[in-house]
Amino acid sequence: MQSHFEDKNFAQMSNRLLASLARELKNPLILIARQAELERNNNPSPAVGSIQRTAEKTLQLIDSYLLMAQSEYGQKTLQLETVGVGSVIYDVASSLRESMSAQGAELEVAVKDANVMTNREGLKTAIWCLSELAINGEDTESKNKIRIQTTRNADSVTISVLSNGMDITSKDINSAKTMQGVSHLALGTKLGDSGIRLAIADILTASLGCSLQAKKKNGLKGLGFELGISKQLQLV
Amino acid sequence: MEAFDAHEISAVAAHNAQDAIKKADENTPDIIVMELLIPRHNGLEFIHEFRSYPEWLDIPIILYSNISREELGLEDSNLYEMGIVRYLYKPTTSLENLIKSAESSFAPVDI
Repeated sequence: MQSHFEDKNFAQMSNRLLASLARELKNPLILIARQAELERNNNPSPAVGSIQRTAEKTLQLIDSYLLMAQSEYGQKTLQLETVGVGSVIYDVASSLRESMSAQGAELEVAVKDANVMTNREGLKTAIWCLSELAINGEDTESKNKIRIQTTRNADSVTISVLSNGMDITSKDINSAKTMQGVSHLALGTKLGDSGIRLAIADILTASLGCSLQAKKKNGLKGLGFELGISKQLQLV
Repeated sequence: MEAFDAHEISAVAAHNAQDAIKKADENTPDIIVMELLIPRHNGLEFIHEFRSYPEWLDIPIILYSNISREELGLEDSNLYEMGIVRYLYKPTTSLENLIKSAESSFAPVDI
């Protein structure tokens, strides 16, 4: 039987359909998040807060997917712009504080600012994914501590998300690269979720021209990536 | 609407482009908060139409949309030319921030 579509056309069509579906999925979630926000003013119960946070996290995941699709799963570089790394990190930290507090996690931010040519949304989403991995890391008996930090080098800045509950190795990162809906099962028990956030972070950092690496410092472990600094962009 | 009411901001809802024009005609708004994805219309085309009425040229517009800035693909200068004073991405903008943006964007009143 002759196929009406070549494989490539079918893949493009199904990607476009998935992206449209993802956009549609946002509508009810936004409604839930905003209604929950309204309800919290009258009824500040943990349950309502949880509903709002869950809806907002799911929205973020959908946006992550749309960004990945835009970058053609890391094959294409996202549009570049001048971005202050510090402002992006503080943005992510502010969006995470409530859910961290609700899960008894402690967040520390240590930033040495730098201006880079990158894609703001891609950078923000990659850092968010890594932070979510850190929050949902392996159970620890002590309080879950998460640290988002930057390290300045001569021509680059390394952004790392570290915690006392995350132990992801280079092997895990490579497993995430080969995710075909199969290897994520192996990551699931280690990461506390399907490993999808690791895969998203990996794809997004690739679309920013970076690669994800395992990091550790002062007893904390995690993931990071390095962005080149343009000297012309630094504030005088 | 409830969020605006709670902050003593009188808000009128319009459910499509024609309804918005009709309601603006009945009672000129101080500010418009709108989604770009409106039924049966292109949100940007609506803004152009709205701006074609001289009496509505200076009314600030806040876009509160499901479409991200990146997806929209417009520069700040394009938004400024259309009289869009804020672009708020719905999934990540709380109602509180929406209200604050609206409050800070009201056009000055001629004395």
